Amino acid sequence: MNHRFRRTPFSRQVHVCFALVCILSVVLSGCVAAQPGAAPAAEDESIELTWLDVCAPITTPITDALVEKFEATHPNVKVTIECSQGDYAEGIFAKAAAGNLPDVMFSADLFTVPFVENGVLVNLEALSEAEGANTFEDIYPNILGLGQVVGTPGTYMIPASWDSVQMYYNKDMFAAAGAPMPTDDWSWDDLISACQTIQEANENVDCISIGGSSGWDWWAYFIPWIVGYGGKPVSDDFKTSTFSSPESLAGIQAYVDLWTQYDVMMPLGADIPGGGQGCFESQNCATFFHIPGFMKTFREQITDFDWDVAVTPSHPIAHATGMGTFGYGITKDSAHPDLAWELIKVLASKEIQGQILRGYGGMPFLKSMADDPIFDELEPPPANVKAFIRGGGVGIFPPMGYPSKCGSLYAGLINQTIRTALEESIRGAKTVEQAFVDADAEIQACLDTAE
Amino acid sequence: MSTLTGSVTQAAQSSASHYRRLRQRNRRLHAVIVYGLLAVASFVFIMPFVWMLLTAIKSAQEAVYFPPTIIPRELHLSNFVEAWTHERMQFPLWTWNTVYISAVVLVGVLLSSSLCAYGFARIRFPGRDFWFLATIASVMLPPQVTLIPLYVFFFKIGWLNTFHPLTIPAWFGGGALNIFLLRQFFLQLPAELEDAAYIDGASRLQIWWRIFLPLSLPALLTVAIFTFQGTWNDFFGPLIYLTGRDKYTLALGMNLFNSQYGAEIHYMMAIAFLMTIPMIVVFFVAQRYFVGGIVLTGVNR
Amino acid sequence: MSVQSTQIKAARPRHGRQYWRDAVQGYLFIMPVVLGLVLFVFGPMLVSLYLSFTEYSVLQSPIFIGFRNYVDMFTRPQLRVLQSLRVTVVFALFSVPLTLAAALAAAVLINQKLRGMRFFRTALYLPTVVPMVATVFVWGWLLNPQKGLINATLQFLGLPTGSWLSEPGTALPTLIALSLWGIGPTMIIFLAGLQGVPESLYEAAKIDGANNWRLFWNITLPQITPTIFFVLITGLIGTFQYFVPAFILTQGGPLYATYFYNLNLYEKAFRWQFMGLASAMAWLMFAIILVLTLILFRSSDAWVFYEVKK
Repeated sequence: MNHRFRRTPFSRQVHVCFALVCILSVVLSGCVAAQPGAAPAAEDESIELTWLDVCAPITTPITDALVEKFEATHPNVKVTIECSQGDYAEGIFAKAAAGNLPDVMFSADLFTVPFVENGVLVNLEALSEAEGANTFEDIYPNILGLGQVVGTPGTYMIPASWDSVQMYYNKDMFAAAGAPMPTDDWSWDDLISACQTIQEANENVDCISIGGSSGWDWWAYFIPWIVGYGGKPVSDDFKTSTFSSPESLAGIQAYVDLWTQYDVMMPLGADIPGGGQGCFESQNCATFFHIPGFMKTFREQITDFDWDVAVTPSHPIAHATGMGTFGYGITKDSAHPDLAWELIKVLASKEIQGQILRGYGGMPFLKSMADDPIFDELEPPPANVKAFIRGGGVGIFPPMGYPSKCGSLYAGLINQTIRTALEESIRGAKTVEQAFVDADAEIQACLDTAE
Repeated sequence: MSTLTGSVTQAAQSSASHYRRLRQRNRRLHAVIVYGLLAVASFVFIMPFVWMLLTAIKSAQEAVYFPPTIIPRELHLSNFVEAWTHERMQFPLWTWNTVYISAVVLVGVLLSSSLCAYGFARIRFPGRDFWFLATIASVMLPPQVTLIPLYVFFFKIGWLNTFHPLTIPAWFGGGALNIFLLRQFFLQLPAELEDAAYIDGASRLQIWWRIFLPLSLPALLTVAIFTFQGTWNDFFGPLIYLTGRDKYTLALGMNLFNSQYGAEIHYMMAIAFLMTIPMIVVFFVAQRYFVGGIVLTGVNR
Repeated sequence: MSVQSTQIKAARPRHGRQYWRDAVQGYLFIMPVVLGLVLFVFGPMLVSLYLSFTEYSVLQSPIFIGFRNYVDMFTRPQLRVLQSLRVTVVFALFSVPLTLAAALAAAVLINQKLRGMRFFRTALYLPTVVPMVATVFVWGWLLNPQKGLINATLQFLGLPTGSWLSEPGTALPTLIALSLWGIGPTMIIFLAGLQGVPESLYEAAKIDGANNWRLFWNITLPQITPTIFFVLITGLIGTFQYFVPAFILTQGGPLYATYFYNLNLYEKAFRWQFMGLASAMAWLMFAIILVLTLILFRSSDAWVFYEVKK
């Protein structure tokens, strides 16, 4: 190793390079203060609206249609769709913390309570009234409930469609096993006995695709059992937790029995890759309970068996099923809430709702469209597409009005407590009564200390 | 004396030939065992990759069959094209974004981590040990601790939905473990190198650039490969900081095929497969050099 | 080290030009990392330290509550902080030594001078470059308790089948076993360590008639203790930050058997919006990792062997 060093141009380059790195470091740390957030949009000429979406196959046609329609009438406004995905919660709360929310954002029932309580979403009814319209009158009230919070007037999310949980079923599997075909008037007992017939004929099939490592604790699956047996999860004033009332317990027991007594559910932890959807598509499950949007996916992906839909079976005292949808809201950070409203209100038009239905992406939530001619134009499967309209009437939404400290049925302490109690019951670690008396005590303790 | 020497030589010779034969047989047995173990392990370890490829060429429905079909019933090689040109996706642009981010990060990491490593390895100054420990300790910090403050910080300086939060930090030290690895490598280079250069009037910067960097190519390559791999596959960073669809990276874009409202596994696996190829090639080609770049066994002479 | 330098300082009250030049140049060289630490690590850390003493739901400004988050972590079992800490500790206790041993074994195998080693090295490294989603699908296929490949094989062979991820008792051991899939980088680092052992040492021992096992035990192992030390520390830190597989595969279940600390922290921050508590949890974890690392460093004098001391 014998290098000779002279002051060559090369070594000067090295110095320049080093200096550049240093300067870059200093400038970058210096410009921290100098460079403020995005410049405010120029007046009039070009307004930009940002729309945060999850960019899923089910949402993209909707956002594209709305943007196209809006931009045709507002040439000076540019709508930019941003995508947040993975776990939406992470991104959305980071944005909220920074005060960097878009004008329009994807919302789902999960976000309604925290965002409404903290004034992040604005009341859409007020925007509608301001233009002298009554956009919400023709919408089924039960789906609007997902964008409302008990104790806070107003509607904060415009839903995408009339999404209620109904039953998809594998027609071929029912037929081959000699089980009767489901109808819209079935009770759960009818389904259970059909399931037993199917499972006898198919050794490896779990009749109902609820189970695995997640999903079985979705409120839209088990709260209807409580309601269906005459119970309710919480008193109307959200002061008393009533999971362990006799009626609630009877409902939960019946739900748990689907695993422990009848063995017609996917066992906990026995995940098929792709979850319940994968289980149904791969014919390892005979039924799949979910919202209408899966029609599109199943039409594209299922080629080797015939399927249809039916109304979720009924419970002894009441007939109930969960409503769950996504939708769009306007945030307080929006500089142009009026324009944002013009952009998303079109979602509640016959045209767009019809378009969504034609694409098998969802059910129209306008009462005036219940007998729309589009239904007759749709090609099967599913043949019984109107099951979603018939079953939509019995759709319920979860109680939204718990103090935010205690969480909700979607997240936080209450969600965790109920999930744990359900899992303990299904796995037999506790009896249903034990588990839910304990759960109630825990939730009650939180309700008592909040305010 | 001579007879003694002769008999010893003879004995040594016969035992040597016996020993050689024994060793030969041993070596063959040894090779069989090694290959056997490696074959089993490789089979298990390659499975995710093979599965990915097989799924990428299945039909949408066959992709979710369970238990899966091993050999696709019908070949859908067009999945690659369909996924690449999917109407909801912009993979050519996202590929460019990913390449751009990876390149900027790579240059930043190599320059800044080797600069810092040189400082830590070769210059004595007060506070050096403190800063080195602080650097190493920063690895122990769970990323969630700093997520929200960092996000707010990047928002305040207008960096959200730009590549800056992903690329600029790489220019500031380039990662504690990289500094550590390079420092270790620098420590074992002989001090005489520098002394000679000093006598010739070289500055430290010249020594770093003209002696240490060329001599540390294996270590730099190691750092480069680990960095490239991390950036190329990074999901969390882009997820938080990039929201515009035109700013997406491959890892992020690919995930759009996998949503709770309906998954397209076959397309996702097609893109995942294409994405993995460059990394495998880089690893396969570079492995010989980059193993030599990791020096942890103290200071050799 | 510090004792020495103070002695030197005492002996030499005034620093020469060289001293100051070294100081200036030294700081110039490490300036990138110093700035980086200040901007991207210490700053945010201080903010999160402050947040850990507040109640902060992200959507509202933080309210100072003193040490309550730290007290709550230990006194409110429904937050499951200690439970998730136990899961993580058990996982680390088994998975760190296991991956270490497996990676070392793999490194010894691929260090053989036989044909085709480049292929095998790449093969064993592969899972770390394949996107996690693909790997997770394969695991689901292998481990499904009813129709999975492993149980089907076991059944075929007439052996008892396992419940894998589906039962609280077996879920964590299964995840520990699955962590073996990620030995790639560790294996490479070990490989480098193995190749750094001077050939002359082996030759000397061979002349003394040592067999392979003795060679490994008496020469290789002591020689690569610095590598083991490095891998141990990074592995420990890595397992404490273990997150993705549990997040995707088990979501912490069944019955919290795989409710890792980091998963808990994530849920508290982004699902519960208990950002203050999550910050406190992060600081607790940071403290634990720091203490463990310091203990390891202390112990390293006793077992880490450096060939040449400076």
